[in-house]
Amino acid sequence: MLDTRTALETPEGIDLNLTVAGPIPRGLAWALDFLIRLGIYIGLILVLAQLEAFGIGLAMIAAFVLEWFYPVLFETLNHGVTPGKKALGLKVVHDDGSPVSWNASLIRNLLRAADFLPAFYALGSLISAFRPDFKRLGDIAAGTLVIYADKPPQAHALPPGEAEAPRVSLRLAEQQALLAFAERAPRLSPERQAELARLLVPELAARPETAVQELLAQGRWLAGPTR
Amino acid sequence: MELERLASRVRPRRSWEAMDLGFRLVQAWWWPVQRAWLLFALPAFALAFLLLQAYPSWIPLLFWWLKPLYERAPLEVLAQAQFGHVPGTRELLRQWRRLLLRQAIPALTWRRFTLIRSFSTPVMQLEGLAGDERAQRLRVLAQGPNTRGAQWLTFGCLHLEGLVYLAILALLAALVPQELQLDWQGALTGEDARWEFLLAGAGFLGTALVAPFYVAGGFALYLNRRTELEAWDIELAFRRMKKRLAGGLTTSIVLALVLAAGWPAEPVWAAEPATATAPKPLSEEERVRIALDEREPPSSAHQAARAAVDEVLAGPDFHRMDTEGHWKLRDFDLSNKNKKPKTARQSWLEGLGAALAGGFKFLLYIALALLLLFLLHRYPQWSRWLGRNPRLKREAKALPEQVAGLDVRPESLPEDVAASAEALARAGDARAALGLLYRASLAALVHREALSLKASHTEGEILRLAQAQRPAAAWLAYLESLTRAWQALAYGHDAPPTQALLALCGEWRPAFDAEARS
Repeated sequence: MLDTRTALETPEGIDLNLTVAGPIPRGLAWALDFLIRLGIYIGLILVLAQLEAFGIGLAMIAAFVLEWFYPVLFETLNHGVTPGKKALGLKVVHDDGSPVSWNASLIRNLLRAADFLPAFYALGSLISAFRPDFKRLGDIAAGTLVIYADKPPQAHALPPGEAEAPRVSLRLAEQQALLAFAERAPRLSPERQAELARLLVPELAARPETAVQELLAQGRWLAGPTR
Repeated sequence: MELERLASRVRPRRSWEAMDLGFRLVQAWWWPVQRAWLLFALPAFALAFLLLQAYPSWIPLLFWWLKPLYERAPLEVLAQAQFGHVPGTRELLRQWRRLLLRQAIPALTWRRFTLIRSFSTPVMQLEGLAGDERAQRLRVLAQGPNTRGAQWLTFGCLHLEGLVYLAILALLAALVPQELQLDWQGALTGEDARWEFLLAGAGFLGTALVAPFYVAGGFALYLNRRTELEAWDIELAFRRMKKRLAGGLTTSIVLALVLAAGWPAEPVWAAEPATATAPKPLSEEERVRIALDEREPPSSAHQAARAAVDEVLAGPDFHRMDTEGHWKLRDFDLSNKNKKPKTARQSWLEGLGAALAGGFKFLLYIALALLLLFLLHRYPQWSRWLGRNPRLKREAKALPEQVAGLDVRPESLPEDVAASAEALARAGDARAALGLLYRASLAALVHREALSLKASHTEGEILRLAQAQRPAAAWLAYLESLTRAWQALAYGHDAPPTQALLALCGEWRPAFDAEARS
């Protein structure tokens, strides 16, 4: 099964799902960060140019520091998220899903020099595009992943109506499917709703004509009372 | 469509994730997809080359304009690969009419500038829609974040192409030796046609590398939109659920029928006295329902669980594997079996070598011995284990200057200890008197009795040490009473009566004063 999501099993037997991010969103995040830095450079040069040669020197030092430490500082002090990554919903973590450390962040960002070769991050982009975990060289060396920062899932309000317990005891995945059906039914066409519900006719729903309503009622029962 | 056979996991994704899935699809079938793209792109590029030899700057433009046509074959490969069949070159070539000509005019004219080409091509090609139907279908599909995702994909892949193109040029420039004087001017102004060909070639490579990802990204976005609209993931889950429940039900029904047909448990109920309060036997219908409510038939579930447990127990988690490494002498062939007979010159040389080696060996032994001697002289503490170095002996016998916090050097004591102590005792300074006596006793123990005392010993330890090492000494009883008195005074601030103190002063001389004893 091809997927961009990998499950990390913790010692407690809990699966942590990490969804790695590919070159396109990562490239856009980089571009956004670059634009932010560019704005800062232009501002700095405009201000420091008043000091003539000394000011230009200062601006160059500032540019050096920003260019190399802007991602490091944001990643380590802001839970692996630079402003560009925040806009795209990305963040950097270690391979095991733990927050990125100073070491790893420094390595992955200093190795941008290698990913940049021969020009404009071509090597890093291509390597990333051809790897299942979408790592560029810096990520490989530092043992880091760029993943989607999952927001906590929100409960959807279900259309009001009767609730009824399923007639058979269901497994977790099956309960989730029933709940997903109840949540997403309003966005499906009525024909599709009926088609899906009819799949479960003798087992969960009694009659084909009322199958949708029966499954929705069971979904509401699984969702529990609304608060 | 048989969703069960899809090669990628079906779940609703956000649009970024969907295009990442597209990249994963390329990784899984890179060469078939790349080959399918080259199948039509390479001839087109060659054709553009031939046609526009006189105007090389137009080659990339023509090639770029025809791009939608090359992207159909890789899309076909990706779509079929999802269901486990990867079409080969011949199969694709047979369909060239469908892949190239269908809706070619709109694709190359008014649809050429759409930003969601990768997303809308599957609608035309995979669903086979045209005209109003296609437009209507596209209106439904091209809503929401997936379309924005397709636009971003176009934007991103455009830049990816550009950067690969520039990177190829940069690599070539970096590989040109400095001595070679190249006419960069001609490249920039377009005067030299050869440069145009080079640039067109680099552009082709960049486009070729990125094209599979673009096609696959758009295809994955299309799949994602349909998953969202048609709840494919729910359909799959429902089908799995039905399979399980239907399978479970048939065995449960069999079980229920067996029960109804008369299980050995029945006579027990029959034997019970039929009173009004006795529970009514379940009707057959109720019993079937109970059996239906059972999650799974116990026997098969039990066996399955057993098998699963066995499998887990046989796995690596329950078997410790240790890898040990150690050094081992290899089997060298030390015999001289394979040696050729030597010439006179060889044997003479060998003799010289052996003589030189022997001489140097001798010199080295001497050097080693000298080195050892020097080291022993330089670092005498290393030879402590020899126990013969007189310098060390002296140092080892160095006696402590303090014991139990008291100065025990003989020179720190007054000439006549007993008399001084007595004077102090009479003056009423019991602490000084007793302290002097005890200190003098320790000094005598250390210096005359050669008791090995250390600065860290306490009064009690000294007493025990003396008892252990000199059990027959005459002064032992005196030392004990003196120690007790001193401890009581020093730690308990409990001064002995003056009489007892004077007695201790008097007894010191016979016990410890060497001159008095001799």
